[in-house]
Amino acid sequence: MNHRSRTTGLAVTLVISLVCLFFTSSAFAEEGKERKFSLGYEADKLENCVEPTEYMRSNHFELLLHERDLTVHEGIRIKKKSLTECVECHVSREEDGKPIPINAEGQFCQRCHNFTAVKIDCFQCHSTVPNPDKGWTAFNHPIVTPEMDKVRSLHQGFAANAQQDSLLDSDSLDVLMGKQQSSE
Amino acid sequence: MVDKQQEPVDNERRSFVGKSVAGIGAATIAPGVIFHAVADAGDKTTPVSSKNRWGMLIDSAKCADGCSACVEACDKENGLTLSGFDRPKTDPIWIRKVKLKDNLTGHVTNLPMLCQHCENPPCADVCPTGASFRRADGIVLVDRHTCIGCRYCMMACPYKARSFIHEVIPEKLSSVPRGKGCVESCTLCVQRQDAGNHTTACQEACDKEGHNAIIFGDLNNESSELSQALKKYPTRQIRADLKLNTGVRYKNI
Repeated sequence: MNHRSRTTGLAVTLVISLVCLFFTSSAFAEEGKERKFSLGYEADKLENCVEPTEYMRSNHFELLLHERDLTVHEGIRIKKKSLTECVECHVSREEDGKPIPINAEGQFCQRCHNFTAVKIDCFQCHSTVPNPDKGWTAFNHPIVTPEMDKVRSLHQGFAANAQQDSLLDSDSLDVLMGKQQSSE
Repeated sequence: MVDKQQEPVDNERRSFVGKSVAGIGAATIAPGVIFHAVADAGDKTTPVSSKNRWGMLIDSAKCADGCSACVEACDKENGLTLSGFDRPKTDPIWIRKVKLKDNLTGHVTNLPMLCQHCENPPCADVCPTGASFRRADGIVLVDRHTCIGCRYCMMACPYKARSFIHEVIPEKLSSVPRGKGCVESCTLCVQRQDAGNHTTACQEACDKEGHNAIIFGDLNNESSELSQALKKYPTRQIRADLKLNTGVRYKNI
């Protein structure tokens, strides 16, 4: 190959690649568009939690598949990478605080999965709503007293589903302040 | 073909290229390394190891006739009847009370039967997908992502410990995902173990009732209550002839 044809070849490649770039540049332009689902999510308050939003959109399944193996086989539990935590933040709630199942029509998962026609089967087993009051989650403090549970419910605006009275009574406050022994 | 002149080896150029490749390589790998190190304080980031071996000692002499506290507690802890099908013949059950009568003497023995968490589990041996497995810390689990619901493990288990979920489960606990089409069994409350709470629901309930028939603990830890009890009293495994080396042992049967 002589010097001249090499330069020509390079120039042609450069021109073609520039042209291609020009035509696909519209894809990059979408980054700035706001696509938040304002259904009152906890998640709306944060910019992103686990990874940047664009990464999550393209790779959330990879993350899920990898993390679930680590959790099941090795017992590694990282709160913000757990499906339970995703559900807790991304679930939307009704007026009284009752959570709407996350895989329901029009909710977080289905907004994209409906369009992409990809069936998700996570929720055949996993809970579609957060229900920390009904069982022991790995992310409760190991020694949870009823008083702590009440505070937790309040913080989540979950008053309607708290086990006992939703308002913190003076006894519970005293326990938490260390002025009284816990009832357990 | 034009003869090319042999150029002398340019060492400076070589070292530059070498260093920049190394630098770019490090820059590519570094984010992955750093990312994995970031975790919350409450997270469990270390894998389980065989340093622990979770097991149980059940004293059938202390197991009270007619009491089903352990069964109910397991139910509540794992959400087994949250959806309430009320079909005892096919509903999943992780711990069940067995009543044995010696025909010769008339002596009645009550004991709870659950997954024995064998060291050589037959369920794991026969599983075609590898979903049934023994975790490093001794807990035998079903990876429901991999389980295809063939139920071979249910046939293989000498203790009939495994159950199959026949119906769609509308309501389940966040901490215990379970669904139709997979096999399940006692997990020794793995959600508690991973959270650092080394008790089980059945053991807790039995203690609460005042029977104290179930001792749960670490078989590998010599100073644990379980190991001390095993050392002190004569105990046996059920079907010890199968040489499964179960993690659940029984006393007074």
